[in-house]
Amino acid sequence: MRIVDHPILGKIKERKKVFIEVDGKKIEAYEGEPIAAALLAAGIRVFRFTAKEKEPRGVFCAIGRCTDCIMTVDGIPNVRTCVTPVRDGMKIKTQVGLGKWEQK
Amino acid sequence: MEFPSNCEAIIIGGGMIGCSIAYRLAQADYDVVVFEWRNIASGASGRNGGQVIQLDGRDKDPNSIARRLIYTKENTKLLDELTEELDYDFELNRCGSFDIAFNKKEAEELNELVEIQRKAGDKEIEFLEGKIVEKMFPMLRKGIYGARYRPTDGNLEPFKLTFGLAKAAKKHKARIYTRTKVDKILINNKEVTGVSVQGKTIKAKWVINATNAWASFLTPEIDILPLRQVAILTERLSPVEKPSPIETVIEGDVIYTTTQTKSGNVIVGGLRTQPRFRNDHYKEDVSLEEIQGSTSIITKLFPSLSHVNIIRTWAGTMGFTPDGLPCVGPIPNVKGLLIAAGFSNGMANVAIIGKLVSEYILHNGKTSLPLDPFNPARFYKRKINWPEPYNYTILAEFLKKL
Repeated sequence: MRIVDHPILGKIKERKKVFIEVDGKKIEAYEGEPIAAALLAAGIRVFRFTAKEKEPRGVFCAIGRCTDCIMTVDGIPNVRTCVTPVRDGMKIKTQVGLGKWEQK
Repeated sequence: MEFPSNCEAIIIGGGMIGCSIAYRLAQADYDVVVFEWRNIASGASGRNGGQVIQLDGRDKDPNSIARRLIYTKENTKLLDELTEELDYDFELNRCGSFDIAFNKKEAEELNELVEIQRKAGDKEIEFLEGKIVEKMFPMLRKGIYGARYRPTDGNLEPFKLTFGLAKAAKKHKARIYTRTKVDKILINNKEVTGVSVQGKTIKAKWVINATNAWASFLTPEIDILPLRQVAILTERLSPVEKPSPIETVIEGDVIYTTTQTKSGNVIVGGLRTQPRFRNDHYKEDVSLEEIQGSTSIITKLFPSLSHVNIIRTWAGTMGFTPDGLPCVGPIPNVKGLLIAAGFSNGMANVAIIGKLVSEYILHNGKTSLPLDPFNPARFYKRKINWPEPYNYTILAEFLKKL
């Protein structure tokens, strides 16, 4: 779901449509919007699982403070998806625990 | 606050050395009081990388190597015992330590050093070829020429060790007062009588100055130089294969890192800090340049971790002596006054020094290992014109010329 007509902010501006890959699945997104926004619009609500209890987590504060929404983005774990803008072709993975650094 | 009016021994300083001595004395039913001006482990004890390195630096004197190892090896044994003894997990991990060479010349120096050490009776130390090290450390930057490796070294959580010792001391009825500053050590007729705290006098037969970098404020006869170091800590990372401490030199900077605590954070420290004047070495602020310099080390050492977040940075002050060895034992000409300060490698000494100092007090100066190498008399009233301002690199250069 996206808010395309906000009562205060007005109508959403035209943006470039791109594709990102989430756990191997292609989803539609708009360039420059936060990754978290694109995932929520695609119906994805679980972003990671905690290290100790393996509990699901998703967006909590949505302003880059709480680090609940972190995922592995292009091989880098612990990326705060609520403040990281979407780029075309981004590869995003649900993070389990501390995640894995994919070496280049 | 209500203080006791007298006790058998007063320890000044609630760092790991002070708490270690307190624990051993209290264990022997000795009446001990510890005064700490801030909080437990608030100085260097809580601000270091926790690396247990039994022979740090690049000492080439076989006698000195053999002598140092007697103490540090015994210390490691005691740390193992403390893991069982203390009701507190201080995360001791005997994962080995590395001194890594990133060029041929350094590799040759390390190889030569390993030979000297092995000849001096150090059977644990070995030289590893670059390829083997690269396999052990997949995250480390390529181009390793070799490493000096000791499998019995490792790391621990220094905060938890200090708190564990303090807790154990309290269990044996030691009294620990934090936020309580000792103003003066009281001496009468060449004999210690106690200390003065917040205008009150507390009498004791023994007073032990365990304030490390702050020691010279209380016992000016012994010059312990403060040396400020900076460290940074990364976010928690998934475990690397070898979480061992590394010592290395990259582009002229001496670096130590504890590649990973148990919780997953990586500590990097020991960078060339900005030179400061003696009094400024007690300041615990960190400049932007120092943070940038330290973070750049992460990228130099672990290129694949260039996006890692730094979550904390801090400075701490350790005690420095001209010969790199601590000052432990009686201060000349004052009966009952001891010092245990000047530790630049606390983890390799904490358990054994606690044991030896307590033995000195309990058995009339007799100790199971001699305290001679650490005898404070070697620096008694000796004035050294230290360079000003200074940092670690400047001091090392200065000492080479002495």
